[in-house]
Amino acid sequence: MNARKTGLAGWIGLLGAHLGLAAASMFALFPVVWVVAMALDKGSEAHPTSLRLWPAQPSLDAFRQVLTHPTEIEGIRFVDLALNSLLLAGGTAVACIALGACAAYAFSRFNFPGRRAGLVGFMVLQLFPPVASMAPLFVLLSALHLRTSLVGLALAYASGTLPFAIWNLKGTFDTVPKELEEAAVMDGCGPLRTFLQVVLPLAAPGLAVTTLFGFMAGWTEIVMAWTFLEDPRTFTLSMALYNMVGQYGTTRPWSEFAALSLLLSLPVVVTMLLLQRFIVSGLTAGSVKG
Amino acid sequence: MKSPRSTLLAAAFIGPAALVMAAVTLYPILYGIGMAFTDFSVRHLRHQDPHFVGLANFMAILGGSDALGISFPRILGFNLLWTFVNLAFHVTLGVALALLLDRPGLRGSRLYRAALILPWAVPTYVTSLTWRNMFDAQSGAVNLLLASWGITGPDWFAHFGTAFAAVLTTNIWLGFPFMMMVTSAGLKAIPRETQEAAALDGASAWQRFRHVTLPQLRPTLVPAVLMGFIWTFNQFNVLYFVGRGEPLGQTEILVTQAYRFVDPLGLYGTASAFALIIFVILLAFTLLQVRLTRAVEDR
Amino acid sequence: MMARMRKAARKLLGIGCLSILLSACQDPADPSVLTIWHSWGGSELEALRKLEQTFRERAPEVRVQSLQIPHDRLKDKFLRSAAANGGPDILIGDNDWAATFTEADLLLPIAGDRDTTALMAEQETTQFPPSVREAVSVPDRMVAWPESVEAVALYYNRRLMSRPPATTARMFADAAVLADQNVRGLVLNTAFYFVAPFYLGGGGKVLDERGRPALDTAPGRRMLSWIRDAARAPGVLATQEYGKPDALFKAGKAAMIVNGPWALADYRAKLGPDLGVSVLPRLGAGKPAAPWVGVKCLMVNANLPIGRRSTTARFLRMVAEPAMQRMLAETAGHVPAVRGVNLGQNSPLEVFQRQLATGTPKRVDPKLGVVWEPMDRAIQEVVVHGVPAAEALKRAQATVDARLAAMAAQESP
Repeated sequence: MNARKTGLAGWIGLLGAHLGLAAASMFALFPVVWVVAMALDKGSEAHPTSLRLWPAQPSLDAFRQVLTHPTEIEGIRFVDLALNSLLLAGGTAVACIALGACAAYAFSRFNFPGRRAGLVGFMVLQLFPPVASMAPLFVLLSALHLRTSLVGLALAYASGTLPFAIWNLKGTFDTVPKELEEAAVMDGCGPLRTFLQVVLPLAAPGLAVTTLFGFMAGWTEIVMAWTFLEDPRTFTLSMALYNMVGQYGTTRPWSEFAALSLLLSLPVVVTMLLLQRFIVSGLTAGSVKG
Repeated sequence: MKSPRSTLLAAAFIGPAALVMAAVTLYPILYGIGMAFTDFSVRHLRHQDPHFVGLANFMAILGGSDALGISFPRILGFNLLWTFVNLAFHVTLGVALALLLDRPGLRGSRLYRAALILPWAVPTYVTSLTWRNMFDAQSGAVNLLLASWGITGPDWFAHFGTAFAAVLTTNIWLGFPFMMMVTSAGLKAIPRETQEAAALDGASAWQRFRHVTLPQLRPTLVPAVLMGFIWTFNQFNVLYFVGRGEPLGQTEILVTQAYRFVDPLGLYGTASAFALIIFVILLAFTLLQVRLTRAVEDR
Repeated sequence: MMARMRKAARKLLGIGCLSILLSACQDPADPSVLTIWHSWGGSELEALRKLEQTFRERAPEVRVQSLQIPHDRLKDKFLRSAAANGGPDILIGDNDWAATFTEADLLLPIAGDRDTTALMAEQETTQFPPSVREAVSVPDRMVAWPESVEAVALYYNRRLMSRPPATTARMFADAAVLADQNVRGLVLNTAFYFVAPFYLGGGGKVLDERGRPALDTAPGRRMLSWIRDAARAPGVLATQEYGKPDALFKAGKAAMIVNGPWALADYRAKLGPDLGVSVLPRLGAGKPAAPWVGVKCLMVNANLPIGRRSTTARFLRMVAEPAMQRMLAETAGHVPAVRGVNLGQNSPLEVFQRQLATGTPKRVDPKLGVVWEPMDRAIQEVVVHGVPAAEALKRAQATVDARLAAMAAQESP
């Protein structure tokens, strides 16, 4: 490093970087702070007349209320909703990663007729907005007796996230050196074992990001869930959140909506922060051409 | 490895994904395409007996401002404006922040990154409702903040300019972390030495960025921008829950407009035609973009 | 050529029919279960639980399963489920939804002269006043069972004003006087539904005598300009959002608000004895305001298994009994749909009952469903953007005509 360079100019540059990052961080944090303040505000004025980023009487009542009575449905506890959310989001992530990784591996490694067309085909499917295809999907899943179960929903979500998964994972697999596999094959490994034991571990960051994407899709989706599910025992946290503010759902105070929003966001935020480094290295997003 | 065996293997690996996609995505899409050429409405939901109407739905949509009470060119124009302005902000902000975070000797970058990644982790629905409240004319956080600086904030959703600014702010907040993380990923793959070599050659910071960093980021950024284009073009949540088409339907994009034909009116055939038109537009843009980037890369 | 293409389209959609047939093979209808979908929360949910409790006492062999669904998802969910041969036995919803459901052939007729499949006998429907029956009927049959009636009236805060205004002129004078830094005189939701009492009361039209949309009339223009002036009057906060006026009134920061009986329990809880309710003020020349009269009703799924018909009919009958109607009024603030339920002089609900007398029934008419959004927009154009009323109404009429034409085109190929 050039010592003179890290002198004044470098110092100013560093200061500028801090200023820019601090400003952006404030932009990113402002709404979050607002929601936190709302959740802690016992008065929970829906329409305040002055900006208060720290409530006058902070209280955890809203959280307590949401945790004990997340919905008006009798016998449905917060843990039940959370467990369903976890099953749904986890199922989506697993289906997405299992199906996506296999397909991405084939697209990355095998040369076969229609390879390019197949890859493009997967991508092109996500260009079609789901606005009109919900009706046939509803009928189809009803016919398969999957519509009112979390399995059907997980399949539908996984199908929605598969194009990204395949794209991102193919990019990741492309960066795994072929020599390792060839060595494994020489050692007598079959293609499945090579894939599972040699390639997958090396693609961990890409797998982590893709899993997170699938998880988030299942964790947050609302409209399809409220359209398909019919049994409260299968309802999820995000459905409970939506039910709080339905068109005229003014019976629950804003502080409770804010509190449930935070509780719903928390697992994703924590996971993301923990996986931060993985995300950076896992987001290769098809960075290799072809 | 190109052999019948490897084709068979590929089929085995792709099969499950293809099967699920074919059933859960492709079949409804094909069905939807079929619906676009029929008079499918509420009355056909139960008996599934619509009539074939040829291109009537498309003519009604594209036919000008009188049919259906909408102006297709206007909505498409806004949709494109929305997409491009958003992408410009997402990419600029994302790349700039990633570069700042990547600065050698910067302390607390983990902390910054933690704060900056937050918008990505909050469910879109929560984001949308929160920002809608924050832009409330009288009691929203934005106007209250402005008031504390002595500025009277506008009634955000009453006029196109301010309404656009409001939905834009929401979506910039929502979308820049993804671009930032993608850029960070791309930067990681660039060896530091090339930067330092360029610095030693006396290149200015901008020159280094323009001629060394950016070209090396391109392979990472191009697909991300393409993804971002598709996501933003069809950004339903922000425009439906925050913009609500206000004022006077001027912030409606194609998907939200299509949804309005389904929800109160039950015109499934029209909505399907909308979906097909959106598909064709996106496909055209995607192919164009792929072709352009290939042309640049082959040069 | 045409026939061949039609055949191809049929074939494609035939796959859909096949899947519907498959979905029909669900477990046989269990006669000991009755399923209800609704969007009731809070005090309304409490009332529903009481209904279920009473029914359980009368029919212990039946298990009532009710499911709460967000109000803005309920209509769509029923539509899709019932169309796929599923859905609940009973749906509790708004009478105007029945227009869509009837078109989609998803409702079991409640009563009708010539209809042998109807659930109830014709004479059982006479307990409802003719206007209520009309609001749940299509030309030849009754398609929903009324539970309660609703129309907006004027709520006021007694702490801020001792006497409700008798005329609109008085209302604006009061609003101007009462308003200060912390209080609004009148918080007005300018969505069409909420200002319709004045628009319709002053002679504005939605449908003409032959039932066709006719928005652009001379009185309509006059009343739309009136709404613009009202929204801009001193002391008035006008917005097309439901939540904001509602929150201000609840917080004691507004003296008057136009709202329906559904808000009563909430307002009472927040304002206590300060809450006053009155019929809407009269317009100039003594014309009464004419709010929309909607009916909350129980709709019966066309897929209702034969084995559950008698149970369903029993439940419907129970809801209309005077004792249950009184319970619904007391618990949930629902204005009775049947005749002869005495609510006591000057109780808030009695005020709503009186307000209904001058109302305009919201019929089961798909044409009415198309009017709301264009009218909301016309009001917004005039109030916020200063567009002349005539121009806004002409545009609204054009939009309505275009959408009706699009819908008609879908009816007859």
